[in-house]
Amino acid sequence: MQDDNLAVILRDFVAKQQVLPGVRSATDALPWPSVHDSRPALSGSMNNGGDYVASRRALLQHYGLRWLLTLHNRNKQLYAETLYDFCNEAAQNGLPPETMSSRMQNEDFRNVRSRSTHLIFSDFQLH
Amino acid sequence: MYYLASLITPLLSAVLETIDLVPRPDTRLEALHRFYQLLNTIVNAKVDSYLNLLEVIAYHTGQARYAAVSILATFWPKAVGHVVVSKPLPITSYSHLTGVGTKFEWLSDRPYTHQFVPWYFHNRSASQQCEDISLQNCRCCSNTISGFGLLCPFCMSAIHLDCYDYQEGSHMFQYAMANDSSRQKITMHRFSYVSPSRRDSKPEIISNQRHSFRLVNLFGLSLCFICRSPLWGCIAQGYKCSSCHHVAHLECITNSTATDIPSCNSNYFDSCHVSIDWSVLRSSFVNHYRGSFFSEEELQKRTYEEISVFYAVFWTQLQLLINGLALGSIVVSSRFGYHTSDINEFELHYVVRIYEARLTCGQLIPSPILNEYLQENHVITTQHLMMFDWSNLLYISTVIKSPYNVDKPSPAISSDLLNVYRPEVPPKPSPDIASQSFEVVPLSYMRDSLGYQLCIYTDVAARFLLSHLHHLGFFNRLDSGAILFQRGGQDEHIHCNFPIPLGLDLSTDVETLVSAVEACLSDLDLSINEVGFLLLVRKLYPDGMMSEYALQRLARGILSWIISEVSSLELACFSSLDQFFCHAG
Repeated sequence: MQDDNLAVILRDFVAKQQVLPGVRSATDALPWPSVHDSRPALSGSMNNGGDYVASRRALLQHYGLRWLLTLHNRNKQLYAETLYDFCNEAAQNGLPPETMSSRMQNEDFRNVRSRSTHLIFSDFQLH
Repeated sequence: MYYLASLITPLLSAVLETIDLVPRPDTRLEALHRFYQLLNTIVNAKVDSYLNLLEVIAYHTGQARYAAVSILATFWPKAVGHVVVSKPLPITSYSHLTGVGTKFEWLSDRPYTHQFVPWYFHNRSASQQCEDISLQNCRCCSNTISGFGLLCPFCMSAIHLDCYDYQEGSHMFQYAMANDSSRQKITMHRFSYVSPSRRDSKPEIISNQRHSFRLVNLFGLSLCFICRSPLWGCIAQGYKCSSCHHVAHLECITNSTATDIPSCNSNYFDSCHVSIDWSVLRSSFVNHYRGSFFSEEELQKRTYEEISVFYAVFWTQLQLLINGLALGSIVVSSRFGYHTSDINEFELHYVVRIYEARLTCGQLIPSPILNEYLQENHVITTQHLMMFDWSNLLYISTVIKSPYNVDKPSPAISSDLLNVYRPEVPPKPSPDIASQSFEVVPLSYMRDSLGYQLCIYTDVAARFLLSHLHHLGFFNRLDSGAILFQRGGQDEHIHCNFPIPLGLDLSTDVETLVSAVEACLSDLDLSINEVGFLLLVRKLYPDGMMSEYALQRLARGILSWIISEVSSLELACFSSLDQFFCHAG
């Protein structure tokens, strides 16, 4: 299985100054309305992986959180069980191969940690 | 034929793993030409070839997956949807590649094109919020949308009408008053072009008197600039000239003589093209919707589903009238003067109130099929809007492509009778009834299915609902027609297909769909991630009818995608939490 993780991005694309896979560049058309928390990668210039992370954040906001929120609203029990089981398995058995441990910028690290922690605690507070 | 069909997936995967669809300086055009010939042959000969592409996405390499996703998005864009965050996928077409044939400037420059439709964003009470709350947040201002708004069903973006300043969907122009040319007024048109059925084909353009007309969804009631009558309807009301921005009925464009249609940009527009007398407006409305009016006695016989459909249509129509008055695209005149806001009520206002009262009275009983959906999702019938509930529409689409037993009569649905139901005897399995959903069905089958399974007996209601589902991309006409029902056409013989399975389908292809979503979310490319999310939100929306296994599996796919950014420190945090909960019991 290919290494689908941010470390690969940083190593293979950013270090070699290649186009980030799937990141909108400045030469691409501008979507409407513009997404505030995503920015296009500057073509031909140094990119630091932050564009990739920002785009992932926009995808999570527009699609992922919606789907999870709807699942939560329809079946809180199932949502909590699924989330807990996933985190428990990850803690006991390690992350799936496609996940990673990486060196991230401090700001990104804090943002991701606060978001993932909120995912766990927001539900258990309801029960 | 079965053995031939089984070769398609391995053939496609082998080709897509080796051929590069993105043209490069050393690309061999003859190889690409032969590939596209093969691809077109497969797509034209095998109506469900999208299933083969889905298998390539689900079970094959990243390169093959990227190519298969691009092909799927090119040939069935309304089934896949369009990206709004990531880099657009390439258009996989030989003519696009070489620039031969039709012009693609407008397509290649607008990969994020939306197709907005009017939508009712319904705020239920907190205890009944089974609907996705965040779906009601405006993508422009991030505030909650309540009531009328716009939805692009191909990227699930929601917008307030007031926030809709999309350059390709707004046009403002001045006109002079007919009785006083020195007085100028302004009118605003807000609209959305209807996208073509394939990304590599240009939209249908009707040329007449130097106008270039395209099919549009209008968000404010407007007058046809040829016949001066209102363009009634909720979707695809008429055709708009992309140059002068005036709108007209299709019949007026095609049936009028050269002298009836002013030439494009000939400065003929004045207040007469915007104003309409109140009595004419009223009679025009009654004439357009004459098949939808019922007497008091007939109204009592209408089912819950029929009332839901009619209420949705008339509520939307009333909102479009209100929007048109506010935007100035229509000015209603009476003996009391010109009105741009409040006008005297007529039949439209009356039927909206009647249907709303009927829907909320609590006396209507849904069909058994719909009742099962409502119960599984804990939805109260009096607070439910069937036509504006995405997961309900997915369920209805699943129902109309599924086999049904015509021998089993529908139970009485009137609450006025004291019905005594006998215990149901399980029907004997009939070898003639298929157990899987159909991929291609004629419109007549869908119409009959609505009647037998969803108790929609009125033809008018069935046409409204099927047009609504078609416009939202739940199914396509096999001939790629933009409008489901053509005037004067033999509609019952129109065949439709359902590209890409739905999460509630009675089909083993749902497993392929789920695997494809998992594969897309595990990919490195953000465009592939976004297509996976589009399939997740548009085809596998969380629903009480779905199995817990499916919901858990999809949720774990999203969580894996989220957690892939988490550092090893989070692993330590999760381990600590695990120990804490273990000790806490």
